[in-house]
Amino acid sequence: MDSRIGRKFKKLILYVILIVIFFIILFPIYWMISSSFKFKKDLLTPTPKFVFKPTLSNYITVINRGRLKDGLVNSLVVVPLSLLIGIILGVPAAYAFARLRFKYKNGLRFWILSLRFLPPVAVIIPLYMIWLSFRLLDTYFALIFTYSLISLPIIILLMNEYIKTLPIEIEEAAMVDGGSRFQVFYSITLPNLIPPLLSTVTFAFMMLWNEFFLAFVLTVEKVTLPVAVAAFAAIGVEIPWAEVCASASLLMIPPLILVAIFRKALISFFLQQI
Amino acid sequence: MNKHSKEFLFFSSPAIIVLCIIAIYPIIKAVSLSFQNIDLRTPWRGEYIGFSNYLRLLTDPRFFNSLKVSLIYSTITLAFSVFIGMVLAFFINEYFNSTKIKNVTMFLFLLPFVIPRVSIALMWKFMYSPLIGVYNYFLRLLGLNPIPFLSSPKLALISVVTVDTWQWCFFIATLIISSMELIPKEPTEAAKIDGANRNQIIIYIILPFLKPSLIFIIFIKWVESLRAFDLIYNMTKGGPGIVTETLDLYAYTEGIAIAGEISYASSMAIVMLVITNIIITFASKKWIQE
Repeated sequence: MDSRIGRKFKKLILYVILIVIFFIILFPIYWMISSSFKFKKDLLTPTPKFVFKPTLSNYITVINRGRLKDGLVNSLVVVPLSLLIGIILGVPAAYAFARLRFKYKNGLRFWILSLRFLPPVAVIIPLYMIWLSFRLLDTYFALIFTYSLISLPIIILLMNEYIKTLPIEIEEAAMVDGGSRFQVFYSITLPNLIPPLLSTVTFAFMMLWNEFFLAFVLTVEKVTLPVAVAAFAAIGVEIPWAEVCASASLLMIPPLILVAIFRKALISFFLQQI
Repeated sequence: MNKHSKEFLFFSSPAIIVLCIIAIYPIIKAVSLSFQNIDLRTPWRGEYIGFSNYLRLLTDPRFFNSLKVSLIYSTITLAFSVFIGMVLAFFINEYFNSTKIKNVTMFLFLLPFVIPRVSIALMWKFMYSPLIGVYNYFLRLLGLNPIPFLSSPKLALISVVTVDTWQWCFFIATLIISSMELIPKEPTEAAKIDGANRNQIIIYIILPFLKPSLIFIIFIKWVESLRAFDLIYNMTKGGPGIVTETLDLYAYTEGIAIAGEISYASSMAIVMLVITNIIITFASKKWIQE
């Protein structure tokens, strides 16, 4: 009897701990999102209101602010285009690393791997100077090109791992039948790559969507969404918390949706590299 | 050149050329800038001045402060997030075996990691606020004095470290839990039959299996902690004073934002690059050994 109660008690304690852990994760997120629906008088008070009349006014204010709208548009131009560069140049390169022999292949692959760990400040200061001297500072071109530093290595490395797991026999048979390497890549390998490419691109999308430092340094007018959101919190003496909460909530919607869809794929990406 | 090499270059050279332009050329440029005295107000004028910028670094207390902040910040966030991540992973793995709970846990654990750092910084800055922040409300409920989390020189760094740890520790836990699932069952069961207790199983079987994943995680987090610009800039801008000013913040302030001494900032960037390279070389050697 005692031991059964003891076991139940232990189980209860364990669940309480689990709920506390969930609370630690969810509370900050909940707090910001719920605050974004509050009227200013409910938000700017020393005694926080847990029950309040919700409003969309903060979102309306934020969306009508020109800078935030620009940020959204710019992010929606810059991020997809640099992903496109990443796919067009990166997938063939991944194929080459997986299937073809080359004397310096391992060295090149290690170099590409090391690019993922390059401190951004080491490239951004000279890049600022380089884009400045080409009069390309604060242009889509400079930002898209700079972002391929993030998208290309991810796509090359992850797709390379995936292509290695595909059976090579079909490709070899097609080669024997007289297909050129490019024909084989284009019509046999590429169609098999669509599903893993989709999740790789999702991952790269999140990296670029969330990126702040490079965009912050390289832009003045062509700001991306994270830079526009951060600028909200930096204007004036008093931080407009209602608007800040609304815009920061907007910014995190796409990654939250994507993680719900691609949870398994995301974890396996990281494990793949171990 | 044989056929394979030609084909290799055909497929890969566009990507490699772009990466050279965007990664190698800037680094060469940074080295060359660091030996000149170019100012952003007159970027067309500059002459080579040898090692002057590097010598100036040696006598710049603010540089040493930022180096110190960077090292403290990265070491503490690394230690906290890996330790807490491991504790969480062992806790979940030991006591919660139902797939349903595990799936929910893994999903929630991923959330902080995928939220943009700008959102996270602002979210926590809001909650840390001395007047309207929810944490100080809780403290007042407990009858304690409000804490100026971000404006106190003593607490600012640890407050930012807490946010970084919050973002990473759950993600690290998911990685460890996922690698625990790959551990074969037989050795653990055999050890149980031979009378090993739980601690012995953890020390002699589970930890050795996890070692490669742990090294990878430590390496990733270490490098990642050295680039906390987005978090720190949006929470404290390096302040109060310079107590949370890391190397990348100082280089940005000095090189672009305020002073415009881009050559001097380049020498800091090179120092940063060398530090990161030492870590990569060190870690990859360790990696290959395993």
